[in-house]
Amino acid sequence: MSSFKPKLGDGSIILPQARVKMIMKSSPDTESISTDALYFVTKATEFFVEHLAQEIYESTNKSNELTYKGLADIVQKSDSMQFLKDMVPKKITYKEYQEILKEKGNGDLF
Amino acid sequence: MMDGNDASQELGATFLSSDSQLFVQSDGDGENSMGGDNADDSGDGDGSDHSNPMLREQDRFLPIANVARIMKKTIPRTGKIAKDARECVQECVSEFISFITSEASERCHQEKRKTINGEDILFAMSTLGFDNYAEPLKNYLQKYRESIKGDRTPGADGFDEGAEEYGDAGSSSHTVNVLTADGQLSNQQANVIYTTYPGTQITQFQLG
Repeated sequence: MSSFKPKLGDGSIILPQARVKMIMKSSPDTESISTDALYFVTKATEFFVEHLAQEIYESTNKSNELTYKGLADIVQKSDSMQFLKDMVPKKITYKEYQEILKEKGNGDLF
Repeated sequence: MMDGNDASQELGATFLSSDSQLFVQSDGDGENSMGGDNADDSGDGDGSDHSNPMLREQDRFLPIANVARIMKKTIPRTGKIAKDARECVQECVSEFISFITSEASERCHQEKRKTINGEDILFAMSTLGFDNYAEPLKNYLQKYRESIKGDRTPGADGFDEGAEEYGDAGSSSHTVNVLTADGQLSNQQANVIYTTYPGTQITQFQLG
């Protein structure tokens, strides 16, 4: 994780700052945001997307497709991605679910 | 409770195991997974504590095209991104923004300051495990400032050295460097309208 270095060239911005600001404002207790802060969050978000994509790509042995499963795997494995754990639950088939039910007993799951 | 008969109707539900949340998809067919709506309790906009109920669904996320574009740059040209992966990254990204912001916001609040500044953001990133972003961010800000210095139109506020607060209502127009689709940086005049609003009142506005 700490080996990540952003590749995207210069300081220009790809993501829309206004939208980033809207999302920031929806956090509790957020009043004003300086221009520097908005720029940092916007750029950091771009890094984050790059970072995620890179991690998935490398962890799936450079397979040509970035999949949901690849994303779920790196989120589970990485410390800094723990905050996303609940957003990217692992998907299982219904068969697997039935097996889990059998092992654990119905009462434990609900 | 599942009888197992018409289970396919129930597959949209998320099941909790003792270790982690699991999401059930239809058997043997990844394409038909209920992947569009990932389990996301906190952001469905129905007035829960975490999301602002006034934000429309599409305003809670960054445009998926932009997100996908960044992802594509990271992989070889022939690479693909699965639809559910793309959509999930889009959601994760909003979560990332909220994550950083609430950490920075809390610190500001504790120090009785009203404006979140650049340092707060950098500090939040270090605290939350993204300290490797801090150096590049500082460098990029410098580059960005230098690149816009020559483009100031008369009457525009521009980016000043210090913190320019978004506390007052008003708008300014500003020229930005536009990164066009083929990756070339061009100095196009783009009117960026900063609409600000006091306090915690959220005003919806149309972009572009």
